Parts: sequence; structure tokens; C-alpha cells
Amino acid sequence: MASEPTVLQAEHFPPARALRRPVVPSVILGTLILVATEVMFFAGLVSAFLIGKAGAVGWPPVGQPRAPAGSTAVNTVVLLASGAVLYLAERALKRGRAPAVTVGLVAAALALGTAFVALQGWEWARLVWFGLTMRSSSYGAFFYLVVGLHALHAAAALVALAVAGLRLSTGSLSREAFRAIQVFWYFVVAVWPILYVLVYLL
Amino acid sequence: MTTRRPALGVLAATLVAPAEALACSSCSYGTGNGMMVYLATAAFMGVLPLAMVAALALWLRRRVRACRTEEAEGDAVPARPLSSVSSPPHEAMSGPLM
Repeated sequence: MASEPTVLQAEHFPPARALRRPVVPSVILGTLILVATEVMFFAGLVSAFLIGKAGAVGWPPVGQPRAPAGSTAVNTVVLLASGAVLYLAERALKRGRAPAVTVGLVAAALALGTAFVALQGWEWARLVWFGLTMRSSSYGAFFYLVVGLHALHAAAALVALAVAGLRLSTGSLSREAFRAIQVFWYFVVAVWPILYVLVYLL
Repeated sequence: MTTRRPALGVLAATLVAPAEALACSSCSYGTGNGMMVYLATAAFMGVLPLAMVAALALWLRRRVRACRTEEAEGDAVPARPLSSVSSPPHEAMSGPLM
């Protein structure tokens, strides 16, 4: 007489492993790689600027206006404040605060970042009026190249931040995507003080 | 093969006339300050990517260790022993899976 086969029950097996999550979400890893390439990009620009400045007889050249360090210092504080506000937004999201709080903080960071870009544009208009253009001297060319490319990165990050704010308000933004946008904005904020010191102060 | 001859020609020219390599306006500024800044920025540009890759690798290593710790804690619950199956002992050891 054949014996009944042993029927193994579920409790005899180890607990089923949950679907393994990636070590680093792809969107964050991709953003980190992008930031690394942009860091090298700005490092190359800064190197070229420093070499050009070292070989110049006078800096800024005679007849060229100096970059406005005082008003740009205020602008730098505005940009740093936007980074701090975005950090507070991330903390509010992590602690499960009301969505309106997080969206409000993201909107505040967006407003501060927009104010930074707008003030930079206003300062540029004044500098062009006073004779500093890309073709007036190597000083002007480097100034608009370095500061302009940073402003371009800031503008792109602001667009991403605006999209994040909109999706947060509808509850359709994942935490990983928000963190990726944060990383890129932190990069824009962190690189500016270095450019400010090198281009405006030294 | 088509690029080997021009490359050898460039290498030969560099070996024969090294002074012309200093025609670069960035590398061979008349002032010593320009040369120092060039060397410093060249060194910085060489070290910076290595530092970023090393930092990323260290951070990924920490993340992998943290994930492995989490998975190990999740697998720490043991399975129930086979002897707890409700069947005669001699049949529990001779099933089709044994």
C-alpha cells in the first residue's frame, strides 16, 4: 500500500522574501552621475578662468566694470536660503506632515530660486549697460560664460522643482523622484558660493 | 592601420622638437604665476574625478551593507522543522521530496 506523500505546509519554508529593492534607486543614481559630470564641467570652466586671470596684466582689465559683489552677496544668501527651505520640505515629507506644508515649502524654495535667477539677470543687464559684454574682454567672456552656465543649470533645476511641486500637490510624486530633484538643486546651490568667491571676490 | 602613420609622425615630431610643444598659450605663459596656476588646476582636474568616484564607491558600499543587514534581519525568522508535520514519523522522512 503506497504511503501518502508528505504534504509540506507553508510554515515549513522560510518566510518569502519581499521583492528586493535596489540599493540605490535608479533615478537618484542617475542624478548623482549627472551631478558628477556637471562638477567636472564647472571645474574645467573654473580652471580656464583661473589660468586666463593668472596670465592677464590687470584683472578686471582697464575700462571694464567690476562684478557687483555686494548685491550678489545678498543674492547668494537668497540661493542658500532656497536650499535650506528645500531641506525643510524633505523633512516635512519624511515626517508625514500635511501635504500642504510640503508643497508650501517647495513653493517657497522655488520662489527664492526664481528670485536668484531674476536678480542675476537684472545685474547682467546693468553690467551690459556699463560696458561688460562677452566681447569686451576676456574678463567679460569668462564672467558671462561661468555665471551664465550656472544660471542655466539653476533655471533647469527650477523647472524640475516646479514640476515636483505640482506633482506633490496631486500626490503623484515618488519620494525617490523628489530626492533626485533635491540632489540636483543642492548641487546648484553648493556650486554657487565657489563661483561667487572666484569670480566676484578674487 | 590608417591612423598609425599619422600618430607615429606626431610622436616623432614631439620627440624631435619638444620646444614647439610649449607654443600653447595656456601652458607657457611668460609669467611664472600662469604656469603655477596651470599646474595646480591640472592637478586638481586630475584628482577631482578620482575623488568623486572613490566617494561614490564608498557610499554605495555602505548602502549595500545596510541593505544586506536589513535582508539578514528579514530572513532571521526560522522555518518550522519538518517533524512538526502531522503524519507518522516514518512517512515524514520518506516523502517524494526526500
